[in-house]
Amino acid sequence: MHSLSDVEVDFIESDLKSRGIVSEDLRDNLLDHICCIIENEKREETDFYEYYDRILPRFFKKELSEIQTETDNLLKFKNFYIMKKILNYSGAATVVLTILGALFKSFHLPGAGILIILGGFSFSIIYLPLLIILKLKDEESKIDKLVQSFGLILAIFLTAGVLFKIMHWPYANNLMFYSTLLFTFIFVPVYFITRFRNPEKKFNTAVNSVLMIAVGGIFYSMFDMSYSKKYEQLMVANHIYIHENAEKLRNSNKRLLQNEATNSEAQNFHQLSQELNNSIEEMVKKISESNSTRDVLQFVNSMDEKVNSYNIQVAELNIQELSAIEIKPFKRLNEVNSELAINVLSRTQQQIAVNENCYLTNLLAQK
Amino acid sequence: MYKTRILKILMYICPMYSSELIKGTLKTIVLNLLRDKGRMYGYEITAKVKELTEGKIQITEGALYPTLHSLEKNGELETEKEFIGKRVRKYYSLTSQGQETASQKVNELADFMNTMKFLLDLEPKLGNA
Repeated sequence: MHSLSDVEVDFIESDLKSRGIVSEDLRDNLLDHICCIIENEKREETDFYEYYDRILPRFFKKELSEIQTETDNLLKFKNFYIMKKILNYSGAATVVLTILGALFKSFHLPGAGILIILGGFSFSIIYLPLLIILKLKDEESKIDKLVQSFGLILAIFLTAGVLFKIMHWPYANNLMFYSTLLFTFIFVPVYFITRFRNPEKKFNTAVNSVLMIAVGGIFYSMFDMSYSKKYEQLMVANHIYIHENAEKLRNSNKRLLQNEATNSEAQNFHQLSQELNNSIEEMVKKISESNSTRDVLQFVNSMDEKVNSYNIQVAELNIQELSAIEIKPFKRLNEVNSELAINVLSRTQQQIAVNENCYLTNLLAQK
Repeated sequence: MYKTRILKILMYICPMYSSELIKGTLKTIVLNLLRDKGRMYGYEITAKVKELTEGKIQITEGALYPTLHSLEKNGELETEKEFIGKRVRKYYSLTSQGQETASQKVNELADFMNTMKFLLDLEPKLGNA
């Protein structure tokens, strides 16, 4: 029986360390094990180092660090089965909640929103993150793990975006838009390129990529799509109709006003109406030129005074048919698209013309 | 008693036990051995299994130590350290939870073997484990 010297024991220990056995507990075990083998099985005449090299391959297939990795995996994924169970339960919960939520929504039953939201939460906060963790444990290549995790993270953001949208929380559109953009135009190509060369995965990769591009593309086109052309044309036609009618009223007002050449009140009201109308006309022009409502508020702010004095005048005239002009809707014009903004403005122009017409008709009737 | 029973069961599977078969039964083998012997260290376990099975089952170190460490972490095993010269020897023994798990595992495996015997037509009818 070979009795090991301290130098030999130290040699084995440092060799184990250099071969990747980093945890002390495991190293102690292996050291003792190797010492036992040497003490019990080595023949007296065999050289210690030669024998050590001969027995070491017993411990591994490729390299000694496998044993460390395997130990780490078993310890780290102690909760592996619990996690898998939670994954299954949260998956089932997601399916049940979403289907129930959709059914409730269709039949207008109470609780539909809550069901859909809970389904979304269990999907994006429990199911998908767990899926990433479990995927990372798979014995796939590092690139595959990274790519898949990236895709799943995007999926989490996308689901969160949809949830935010339902809940009317901020940044919903940004979340949805950018995650779809990244998913369709970065993730899917990367997924395809990294996996396509593997002959085993070739077919599945191609099919999955087509499916994902199709779904992502449809989703993406939905974001970028504004309202339909038909709707836009309808709005324009509506605007022209209102505008033309207002124009007719204004012309008729001019004729009526000729009778009131000496009436300073009438002249004054006409002046106010015209100023307000011109300011609005200017705004309409700006909006239709730039085809956006971005800069509209700076005009609205300068109109406050004009609208106020017009409304005071309307109140003083004290005629039932006259309506005050509300400035409140103007302050939110920057939030709507240009067609709708122009419609709001032209309706106001019409109101101004109607007011003046009612006033002048009233004067005529009194005579 | 259990030892011979398990051995008898294992003999039925296959005369040249592949590493897949041993991997699935390793925990059971280790837990049962510790129940019989009280406390053992790693090398002793491999040596004992080899001796009892006449070399038919050779536990690889690459599988044994990860299993021992995970059983310890799960609370099935407890350890005592003894210094032998410059090195440390870790003795493993069952905790009370480990005792229970050992019985469960052995019963499960015995039942499984019985079912396998029936399934593989090694015995004409399904008996009780």
